[in-house]
Amino acid sequence: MENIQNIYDTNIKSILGGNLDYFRNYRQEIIKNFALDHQLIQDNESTKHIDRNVLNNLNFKINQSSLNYKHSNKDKLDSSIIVKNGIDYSFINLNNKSVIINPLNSDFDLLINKLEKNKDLFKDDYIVNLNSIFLNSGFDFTLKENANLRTIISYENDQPDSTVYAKNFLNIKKNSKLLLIERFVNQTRSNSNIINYFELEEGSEVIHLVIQNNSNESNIQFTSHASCHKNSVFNQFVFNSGDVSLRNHHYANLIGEHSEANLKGIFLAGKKQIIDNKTNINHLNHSCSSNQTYKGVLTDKAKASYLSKTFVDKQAQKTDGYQLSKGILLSEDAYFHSKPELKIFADDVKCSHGSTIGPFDNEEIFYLRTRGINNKDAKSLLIKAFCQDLLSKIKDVSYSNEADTLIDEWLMSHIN
Amino acid sequence: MLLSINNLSVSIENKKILNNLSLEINEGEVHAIMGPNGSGKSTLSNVLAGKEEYNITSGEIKFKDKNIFDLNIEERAQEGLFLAFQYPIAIPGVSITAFLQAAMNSKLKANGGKEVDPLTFAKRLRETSNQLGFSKDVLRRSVNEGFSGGEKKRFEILQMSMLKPQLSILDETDSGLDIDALKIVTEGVNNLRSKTSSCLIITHYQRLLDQIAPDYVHVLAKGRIVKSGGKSIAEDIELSGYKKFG
Repeated sequence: MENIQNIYDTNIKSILGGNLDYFRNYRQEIIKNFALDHQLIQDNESTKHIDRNVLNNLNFKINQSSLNYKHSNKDKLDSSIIVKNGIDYSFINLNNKSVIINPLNSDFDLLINKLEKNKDLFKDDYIVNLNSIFLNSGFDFTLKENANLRTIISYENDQPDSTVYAKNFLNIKKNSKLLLIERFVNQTRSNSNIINYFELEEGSEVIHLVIQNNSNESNIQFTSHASCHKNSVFNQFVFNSGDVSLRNHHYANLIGEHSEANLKGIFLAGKKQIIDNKTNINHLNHSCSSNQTYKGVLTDKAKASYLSKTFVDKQAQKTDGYQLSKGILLSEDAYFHSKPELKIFADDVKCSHGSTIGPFDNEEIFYLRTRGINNKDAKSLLIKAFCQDLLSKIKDVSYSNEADTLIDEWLMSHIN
Repeated sequence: MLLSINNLSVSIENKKILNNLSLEINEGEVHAIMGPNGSGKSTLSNVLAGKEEYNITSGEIKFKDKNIFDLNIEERAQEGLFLAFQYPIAIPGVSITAFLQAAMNSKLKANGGKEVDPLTFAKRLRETSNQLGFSKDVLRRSVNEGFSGGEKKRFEILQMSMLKPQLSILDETDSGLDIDALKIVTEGVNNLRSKTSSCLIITHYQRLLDQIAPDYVHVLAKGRIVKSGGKSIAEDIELSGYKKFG
């Protein structure tokens, strides 16, 4: 891997705010304090479970164009954000009274403000630091008070080797509801390192539904952080059935009392894919609840990890926290590492975790086959049931239908 | 001849369970096998259904003139063999409707037929489940999930009624049933009796045979059939147990 400083110097003109003092200092501080070299990748906790091939072959062809955007209103279409190659933004049906949305290059003072605010989040995360150094994409979004919006973000990369380092800031004002579907369906060789920062004000609710179905070599490192204020609810569901190795790291801070965060996901992987999952919820106030549940189906030589953590601060009494990981291993070479962690400093809490990983229950397969259902269909039926357990609770029909279809497609090509 | 078992010997982990067992079942006949614990009754039903952990050391089984060992588990079911399990397992997440529809369609497709259309299927399921005393709520559940012991056994009969097998093997279906549930189950079995479908009932007790009058009763002891005859054998066992069969 090339020296990060050299790559940064070469690309400085196409990186957001590259010529401004604040950004130069901000990035130099990261580079100085966090020696981004090859050895570090080996040792750093944040890259312990990632596909090393992806990191070692990271392409740093930062797009030389600057961020463009256009607003348009189209009848009969949902509101949506289309991001092409990380730099061309189309905001469809978002030019309305309840939403403010702008790409990050439209107001650098605002961006500085946001970066300062989130400076201490994920300080030691190699992938996040790469994102901060090479930041070349992203938007700032505000959903105003008492609003209700369903919108879709689609990432479309059609330029080979396009490299996207994006930060999206999503502010959900008081008593608003946002249903955000984020779709990664790319076929072109590319790398997307995307971080979402959600700020949920009092009484607000976010349902964040993610579809990841990228083909091989269309890499994703996807990170999110939700700050949840009083009585707010953050529900996230990440569905991944693509052919590519990827990293999903998602965090929530329950700052206000009676706030709630649920970070859930399903991943299906085969061949030599490496799926790196992590969720982390910090209970920082009383009477909050959380659920971290990831389920995976692995075949061939696929490897996955799921690290989950519930931290309960000493003042976070009446915490209700739950963690679960479940995995089905369809081949002897498939591997799933699960590590649930609890750190509890309050005494009046209800926290639990569980993990079940293994091959199919032969008795279940036998039962189904005695009813005439062949081995392949029996396995498919059980995998679908395994996924439905979580998917059936998602109320957005178009999302769950798309996930269902992707499960069927995955089963067709991976089960025999 | 629907089923013909000749000198079947079966072992598991080097322990001989069935020892030169022979049995013939014609179309339309109901046979009962009684026997003490450990005599090999469940092994026989599992071997017929195709469970793979058993070692067939000798003998042959023909089902509809086909060597049953040439057929895998699902092919036997598609040919018309059905095992009602002694301990039906729960399969969380697999809905009863999806499961039964998949089972019916597999059988139809294997026999060159068209898949059942969803409306016809739903109507048949509703009618059959009504007969067996299932509420609509139960049908919304996953296979056997949250079912009581009696509900599980009745669900086995519901599957049997939907799939209309040619040979049904009932492995201690009466165990754990109260009188009312037993009546529902036996009615279900009796409704399926026909000139072409046969039944092999494995049981400990005469009470089931009182309601499903078998054509033949066999006593299985130490892995082989030691006595065959009419229903009077069951009455005899009820009075004096299995001691005299060694």
